[in-house]
Amino acid sequence: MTRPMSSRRIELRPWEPEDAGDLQTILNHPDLAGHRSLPHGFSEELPLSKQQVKAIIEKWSQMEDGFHMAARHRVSGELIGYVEADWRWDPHAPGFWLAVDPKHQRRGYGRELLGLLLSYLFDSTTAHNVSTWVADWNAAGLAFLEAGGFSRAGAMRRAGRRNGEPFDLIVYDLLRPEWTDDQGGMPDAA
Amino acid sequence: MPLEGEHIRLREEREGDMQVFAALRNDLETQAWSKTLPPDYTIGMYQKRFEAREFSFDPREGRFTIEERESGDVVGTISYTSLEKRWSATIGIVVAKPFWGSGYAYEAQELLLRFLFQELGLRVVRLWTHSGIPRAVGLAEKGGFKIGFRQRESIYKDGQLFDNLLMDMLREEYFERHPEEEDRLPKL
Repeated sequence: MTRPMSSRRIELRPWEPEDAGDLQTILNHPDLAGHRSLPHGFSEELPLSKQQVKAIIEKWSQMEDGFHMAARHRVSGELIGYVEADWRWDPHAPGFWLAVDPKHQRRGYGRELLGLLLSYLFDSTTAHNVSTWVADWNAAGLAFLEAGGFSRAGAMRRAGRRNGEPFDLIVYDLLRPEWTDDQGGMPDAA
Repeated sequence: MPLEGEHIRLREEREGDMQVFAALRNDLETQAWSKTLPPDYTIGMYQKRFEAREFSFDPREGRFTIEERESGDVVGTISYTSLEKRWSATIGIVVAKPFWGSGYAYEAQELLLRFLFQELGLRVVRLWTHSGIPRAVGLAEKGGFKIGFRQRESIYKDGQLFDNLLMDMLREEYFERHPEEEDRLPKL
């Protein structure tokens, strides 16, 4: 029997083709433009067609040595966001990514998703260093990770361009000894 | 115009190079990878990789053999990957032990950087290394790279934990180090 990945309000589920409509709505929200973490070849900024979103779901579903899952509300079934964990390079140091639908932000869902991801990575894999990145203009994302106990590892300079200016990606990491089940004190900003 | 320096040149890979490539990959000190690979790579594997390369006017990587000009000996390899056109690429270099300390790695790195900034018009060049290879970190810093981020204890090899390092160089930093060259690429 498989172990469900769920928290108080959220359940992580594998992507299904019929998720494309809900996902398209989230991905095309202007507040997510530039930080959607899409597969190579898809624009991070431009609107996506349903056909493109279906192709994205197919690529996410084919992921090996990691997972990409939909985060749905346990009761309403509404799509809240999505998460990704990737240990293709080395299970010792996986990366992760999460996004919450802007209309559901500031309600603690990001904190729940992060807790689920970290619990899985530290309880069920050999992860020692878990890392992620946030664009330097994403103040809410930066505050969310810092409040969550992540350390700033530095930056990938000139990672891209936005509004006519180059931007950096700020990299954060967390070591297994620094992780605890209690992620108290985190804001609901994600 | 070949990519030619005072002592070395960067040229295309040739069939005769495969033995050296396999030997470099099978030496744990020269395989230059942030996770240890089994020292079982064969010349045949490299031959297949060589033959699998297809003609393209739109490559996203470039692989060069570093050759000593005077002797024609293979010094090592240098490459760029993950090319984002007119924006970024990631470089990697492996040099055979007999040439360590010769200055050839630095010369090869300078030749490739000039190619990437002046010919391909990149805005940033990156490389990955780790804290367990001070020789590689030193080479990058000598060439003008700066540590962008340090991912703690994220590499385990040779019985030790090391920090994964991303190093990068911005276009303007390259031209500051090379006042003899002019940057004619329009500013964004």
